[in-house]
Amino acid sequence: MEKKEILLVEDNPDDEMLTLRAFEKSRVANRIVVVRDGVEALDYLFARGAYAKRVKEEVPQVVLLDIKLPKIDGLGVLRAIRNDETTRLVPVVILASSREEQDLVRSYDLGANSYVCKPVDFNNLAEAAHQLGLYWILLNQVPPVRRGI
Amino acid sequence: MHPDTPSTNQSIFGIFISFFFIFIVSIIIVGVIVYTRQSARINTHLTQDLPALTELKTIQLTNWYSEQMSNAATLSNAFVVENHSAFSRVHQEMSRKMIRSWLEDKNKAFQYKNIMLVDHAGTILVAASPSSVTGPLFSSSITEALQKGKALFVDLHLDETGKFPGCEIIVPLFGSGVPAGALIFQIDPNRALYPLVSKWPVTSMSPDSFLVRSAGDESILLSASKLEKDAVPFKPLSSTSAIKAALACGGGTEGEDRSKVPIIAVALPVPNTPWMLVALIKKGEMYAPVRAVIGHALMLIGSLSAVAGLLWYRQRSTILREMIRLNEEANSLELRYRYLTKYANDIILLTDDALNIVEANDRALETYGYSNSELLRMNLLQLHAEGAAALAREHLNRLSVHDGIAFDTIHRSYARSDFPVEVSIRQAMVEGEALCFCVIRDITERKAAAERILKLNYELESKVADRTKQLEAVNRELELTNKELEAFSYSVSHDLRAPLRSIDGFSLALIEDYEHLLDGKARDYLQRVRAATQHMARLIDDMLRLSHVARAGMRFETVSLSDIAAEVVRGLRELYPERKVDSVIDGDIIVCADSALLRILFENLIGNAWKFTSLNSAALVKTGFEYCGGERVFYVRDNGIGFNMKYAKKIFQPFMRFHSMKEFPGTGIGLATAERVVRRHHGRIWVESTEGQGTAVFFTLEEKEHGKERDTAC
Repeated sequence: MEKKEILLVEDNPDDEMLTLRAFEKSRVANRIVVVRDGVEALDYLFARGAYAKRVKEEVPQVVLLDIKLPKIDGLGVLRAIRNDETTRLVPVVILASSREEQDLVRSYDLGANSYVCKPVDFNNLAEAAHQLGLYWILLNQVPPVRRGI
Repeated sequence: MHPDTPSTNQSIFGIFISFFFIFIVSIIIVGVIVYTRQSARINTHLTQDLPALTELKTIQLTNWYSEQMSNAATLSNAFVVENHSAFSRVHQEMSRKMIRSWLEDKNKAFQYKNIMLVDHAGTILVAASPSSVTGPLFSSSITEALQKGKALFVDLHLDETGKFPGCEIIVPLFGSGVPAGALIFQIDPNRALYPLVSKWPVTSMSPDSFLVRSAGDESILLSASKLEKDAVPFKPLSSTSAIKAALACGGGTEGEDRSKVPIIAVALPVPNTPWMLVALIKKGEMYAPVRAVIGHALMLIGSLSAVAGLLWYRQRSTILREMIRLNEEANSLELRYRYLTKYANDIILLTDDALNIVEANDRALETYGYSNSELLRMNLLQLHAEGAAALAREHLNRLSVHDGIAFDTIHRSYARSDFPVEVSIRQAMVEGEALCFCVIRDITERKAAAERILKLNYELESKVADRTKQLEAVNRELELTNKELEAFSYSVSHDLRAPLRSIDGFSLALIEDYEHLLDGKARDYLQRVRAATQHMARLIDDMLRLSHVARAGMRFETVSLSDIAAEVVRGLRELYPERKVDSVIDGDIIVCADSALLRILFENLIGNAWKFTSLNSAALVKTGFEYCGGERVFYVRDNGIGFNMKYAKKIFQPFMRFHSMKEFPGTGIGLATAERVVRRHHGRIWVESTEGQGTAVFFTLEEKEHGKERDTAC
């Protein structure tokens, strides 16, 4: 059974590294695709621009979406995801620096599935996965294939 | 009172007076005619009737005389026949008695004064009335009668008393052809003759009448009542010329009596007697009845005149009074009207319906600067300033439709200075003439004031607008600042924490991934790095919360403080499962507040209580409220370490800490946040603490009135 990929949208390299480390430590087997801004994230999701060769219908298992992003911010990306027929049902976990109330409320309003406060450590992730019903992501031992950078 | 009443009264009364005078004059004319005719008639009556009546009376007197003489003769014959023997023995008492009885009997029957039997010498032998005095009084007459052998009439004379009139008839008696004596019949003229003389057969005329001896100029009997007061029987008549004249001519004549009173007199001889009858009457007396009638009429006229005069006087005085009163009233009205217009503060003009000025008050002259005669030659429209007249004319045209109009315009004075006025005109019909009553008020002051107000208002408005602009600018700035602040907070929460996350994250990565390469010291350093970054992260979180509490929108709702406190306590028990703390919370503390902020409040207060009781083996945290001055005071009380009250004021300042970080870790922002929450609910917050015994934090929340109002507000 082929694992679907996980899309991580994060512009901070430190956070990206630490997040990937957390995935690694929690032995998530899915391939993790990292994109660094909102536009790239949408290109990837809708299979356009640099990702035009991608099959759009192969949606990610989950999208981990930082709120603060260059070009198009996380909430904008979230809105686009929810407005598109193919990506409408993709689970989205918002990665936030704080429990800033506005972000939280707006995220849920726009259809975010979960809200995780950085730094993303094993416990946080596990809880988010639990909320999403994604128990399987923790079962795979295969280290994530890194792409990009 | 109506002003026309007195004149009406006056005219009615005038008519009455005229009628009255016409009536009086008619009466007088009729009276004069009647008087004239009556006088003539009386005159005729007198001159014709008086002699006739007098003649009639002489006949009566003659008859009386004859009757007396006849009676005496008859009685004498009867005496001789019936008392013949007694008379012959007259010396005997018996005979005298018989004779006296006879005499008394006849005296009574024929109403003589006395009947006496005398001898030839005149000595009384027997008398009917015993009081009679005899003497030689009639001796000569007796002698004469005896000589003549027939009855003799002794004319009127005074009797023996000298007071009363008397007259006798002496009848001679013969015995065997020789004179034996005589019978004397004494007549009382007052009783027998006087009524005959004085009584007249007609009532309309009562002349004085008396007998005069035809031989002399001596009256012998008077009617007592008229000419003389007392009945003096014998009085010379020489002084009455009219009687003399009458006696002289024997017919009626006019003349005067002694007191020069005009009289009419008639004297006629009484046949067969020695007398003449004289009748005289005062002319005035004849006219007396007419005069009486005229007198009565005059009295009536006089009374009527007096009454009429009195009425007229009263009426006239009433009318006069009324006229005076009306006059005074009119004067005072006139005066008041004068004052009203003359001293009025406003210009008052009276114009005709073509607006030509017919009257102007002092104020008008003063304001316009024209003389009165100049104004009276002007039209109201001429008083307007250039350009104002046309508009005024339009207003004035409305007068044809409305009784009264009012408008503002501009008038011009003689000195060509213009001033704003308020014109109020009322049209009225005065004695059939349409007049306009114009009240004109100089409103320069008012206009100026209004302009000042307008200007002030304008200034105020522009000031307000300026202020509003400033305020808006400040608000915008404030908004911007707020936004900046939010952006700043956002940045802080994201950007400031990002490096911390890296520091902490990679420190952790070092510890976890390179544990085998690090000695204890290196691990300790890394732990310290992590602790510092985590503390800073908390500081940032707390600061963000503080600023959030200060800025967050309030959402008031009915919430249970008890529930919130219980939830917070539950959270703390989960966070610190090793702690054994007794928590007591009053039930059903319902307030109207923002529940999110209250949660932060309790997180801080109960969190503090939890923290500062950590050294206490029997920790107790109590949450509740008490009434203080009608106000609910909420509290969170613990039996922790407490603090010195001298720091009580500083305790709500941010970053203020009283304990070592090692003993009681914290950021020092919690109470500042709590204070901010309470302040946003318009409440107060304060602490009471005793070192080593515990602390109580009290706070109030602004509460609306209990009951409905609070429910609706929430």
